[in-house]
Amino acid sequence: MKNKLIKKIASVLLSTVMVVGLLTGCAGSGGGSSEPKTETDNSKIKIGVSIWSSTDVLGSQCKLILDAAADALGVEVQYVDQGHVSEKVTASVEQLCAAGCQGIIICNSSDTEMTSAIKTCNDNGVYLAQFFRIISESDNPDIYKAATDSQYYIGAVHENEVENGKQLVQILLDKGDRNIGLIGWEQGDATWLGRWEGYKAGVEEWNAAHPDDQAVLSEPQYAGTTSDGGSKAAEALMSANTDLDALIPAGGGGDPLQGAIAAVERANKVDSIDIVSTDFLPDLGERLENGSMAGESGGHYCDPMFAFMMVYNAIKGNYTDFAGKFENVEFPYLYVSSPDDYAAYETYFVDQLPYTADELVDISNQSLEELKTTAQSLSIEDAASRAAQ
Amino acid sequence: MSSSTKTAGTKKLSGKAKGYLILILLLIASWAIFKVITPGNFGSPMQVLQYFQSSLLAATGAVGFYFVMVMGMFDFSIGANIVLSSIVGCVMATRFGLGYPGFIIGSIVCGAIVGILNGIFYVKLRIPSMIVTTGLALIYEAIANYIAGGVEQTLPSNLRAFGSMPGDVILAVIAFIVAYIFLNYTKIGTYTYAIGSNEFVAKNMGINVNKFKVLAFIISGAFFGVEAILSISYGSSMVAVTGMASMTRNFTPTMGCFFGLAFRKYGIPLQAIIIGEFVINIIFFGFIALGAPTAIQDVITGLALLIIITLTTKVDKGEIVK
Repeated sequence: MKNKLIKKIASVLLSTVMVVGLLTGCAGSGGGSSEPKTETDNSKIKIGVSIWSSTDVLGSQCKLILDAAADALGVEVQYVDQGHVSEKVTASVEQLCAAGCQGIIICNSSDTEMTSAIKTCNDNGVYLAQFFRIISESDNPDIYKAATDSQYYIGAVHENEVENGKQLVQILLDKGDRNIGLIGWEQGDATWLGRWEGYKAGVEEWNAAHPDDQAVLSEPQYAGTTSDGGSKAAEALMSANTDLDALIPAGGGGDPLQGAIAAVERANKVDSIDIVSTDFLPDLGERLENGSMAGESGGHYCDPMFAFMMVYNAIKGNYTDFAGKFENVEFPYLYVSSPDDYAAYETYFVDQLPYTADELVDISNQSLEELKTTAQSLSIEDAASRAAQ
Repeated sequence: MSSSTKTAGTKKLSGKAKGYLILILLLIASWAIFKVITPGNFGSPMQVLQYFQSSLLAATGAVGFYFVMVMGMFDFSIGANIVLSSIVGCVMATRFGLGYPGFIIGSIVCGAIVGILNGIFYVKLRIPSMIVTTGLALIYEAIANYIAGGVEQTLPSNLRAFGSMPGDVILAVIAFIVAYIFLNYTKIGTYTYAIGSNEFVAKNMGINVNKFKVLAFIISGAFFGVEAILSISYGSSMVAVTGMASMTRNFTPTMGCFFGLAFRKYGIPLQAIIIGEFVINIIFFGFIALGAPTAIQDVITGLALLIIITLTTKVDKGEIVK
C-alpha cells in the first residue's frame, strides 16, 4: 500500500516534469512564433554549413573564411560534407538542425533538394541561406515560392554562372582557339548547367558574328570531382580531336582541372592547348607563367561568408521579416589571365584573407542592403585598397 | 600413361588458347567497331597505347583484388584505400622529404596495412566482408582526411614519373608479374583457389583458412597501394574525400575482376583482367571519339559488359546463381 502511494507520487512528479520540459522546449524552439526575438549571445550561436566538401581546393578555402568569420564573431560553426549527393544534402540539413544549429548555410546540388531543406528549417525554426546557388524562379516556381513564403529562408548568395561561362569562352576565342573541349563534373548539377549554358551561348554568339570563322564546343565529358577523372577526360578529348586547341574543365572543386593540366603536360601540348576554368588553383601564378593555364575565374570563396552573415544577423534578430521576400545577392567572379593579375590576387586573397577580423565584425553589423553592396564590390582592387589603409 | 598426360596437356593448352582467342577477339572487335564508325580520330597505334596506359591504373589494383574476390569475399574499401595510400605516399615523399622511396614504400605499405586491418576485422568479427570493409572505409577516409590536414595533396611534377611512359608501364608490369607469381607459383595462390572452390573442404584438408583470407586482403591492399601510386601520378593530386565519396573508385577495378572470374575457367584470370580493363577503356575512348553524350555511353558500356560477361560465363544446368 505504501509502495503504491510512493509510485503514484513518483509518477505524478515525473509526468509534471515531462510536461513542463515539453512546454519549455516548444517555447524555446521558436517555431511559428511571430514574436520578435531577443538578441542572442554569440557564444550560444551555432551555424551549420552544408557543403559538398570542406577539403577540396575551393571547399577548404571556403572553410578558411568561414572559420575566420566564426572566430571574429565568437560563434560556433559546424560542417557537414554531403558530396552533392541529393539524399545526403537533404540529410545534412536534418543533421544540422538536430545538432542544435540556429542557422544553416547550404550549397545544394539541385533545386529540388531545397524543398525538403526549407521544410525542415521551417519545422525546426532554423534560418537558411544558400551559397553558390540560387533557386531558379523560371524552372522551379513552386520551390521558389516555398522559399519566398518561408519566414526562415533568407535568400541566396550566388554567382552569375552563365555570364562566367561566356567570359571564359571569350578569353579562349580572343586567343584564337576554335576547337574547345569541355569537361563537366556532375550531370545535372545546377552550377555546371549554368556554366555550360554560358559556354554554349558564348560560342553561339561568336559563330553568329563570325560566319567564316566558326568555333566548335565539344559534348561535355564528365570527370567527377577527381584529378584522375579530369586527366582521363582530357586525354580522351585530345585523342578524339587532334585539332583541339582549348580545354574547359568547368569546375568540380579544382581537382578535375589539376588532372586535365597534368594530361596536357604529359602530351606535351602546353603550347598548343589553352585551358580556362573556374576555381583558382594554389599554383595558378606559376601555371599562367608557364602557359599551362590561359585564364581563370574564381576567388569566389568569400561567397559563403556573406550567406553566413545573413544567417548570423537573422539569428541575432537584426534581419527580420523574411516571409514574402527572396533576398538575392549576386557575387562577382574575379578573372585573371596574366601572371601580374594573379600576383595581385595572391597578395590579397591567398597570402591573407581579403577581410581582417575587424572588417568581418564590421560586415556583421551592416544592414542587409549594405551587405549586398559589400558583396558586390569585392575585387582585387577593393581588397588592395582596404589593406593599404 | 604418357598418352593421358599428353591428352591432359593438350586440353589445358586448348583451354588457355581458347581463352586467349576470346580475349583477343573481344579486343579486336571493340577496337574495330569504333575504328569503322569513326576512323579519323580513333584507334591509331599511338592512341591505342594511350588507351592501354589509361587502363593500367585499375588493372593493377584489380589483379590484387582478384585474390579476395576468388575466395568469395568482397571489399568496399577499395576507393578509401587508394585515397589513403596515395595521400600517405605523397606526404612521405613531400612533407618528410623522402622522394620516390617514401612515395612508393609509403603507398604500398599503407595499402598492405589497410589489407591487414580488413582481413583481421573480417576474420575476428565474423561478419560479412562487405559490411566490415564498408565500415572501415569510413574510418580510412577520416584518417586520410586527418593526414592531409583537410587540404588537397598535390604531387610535385618532379615525382610524377609513374604518371606517364615508361614509368607507369614498368610499375604495372612489375605488379602483374608479382601477381602472376603469387597466383601460380606459391602456396597462397593454390590455397586461394582451394578456399574459393570449397571453403569447408579446404578447412578439412588442414588449410588455415582464416590465415589465407587475411593474406588475400593484404595482397589486395598492397596492389591497391600500387594503383594509388599510379592514380596520384596520373591525376597529379588527391583529395581526402569523406562520407563514402571514395566508393566511386570501386567500380573500375571490380569490373576488371569480373573479367578475371569469367575467364578463370580458361586458366588466364590475370591476363583477362588486364585485357578486360583495356577493353573497358577502348569503349570509353571510342564513345568520346564518337562524341556520344555521357548518358548514352553509360548505357552502352553497361550493356556491353553484361553481354561480355554473360557470353563468357558458363553456368551449369541446375547451378544456383547468387
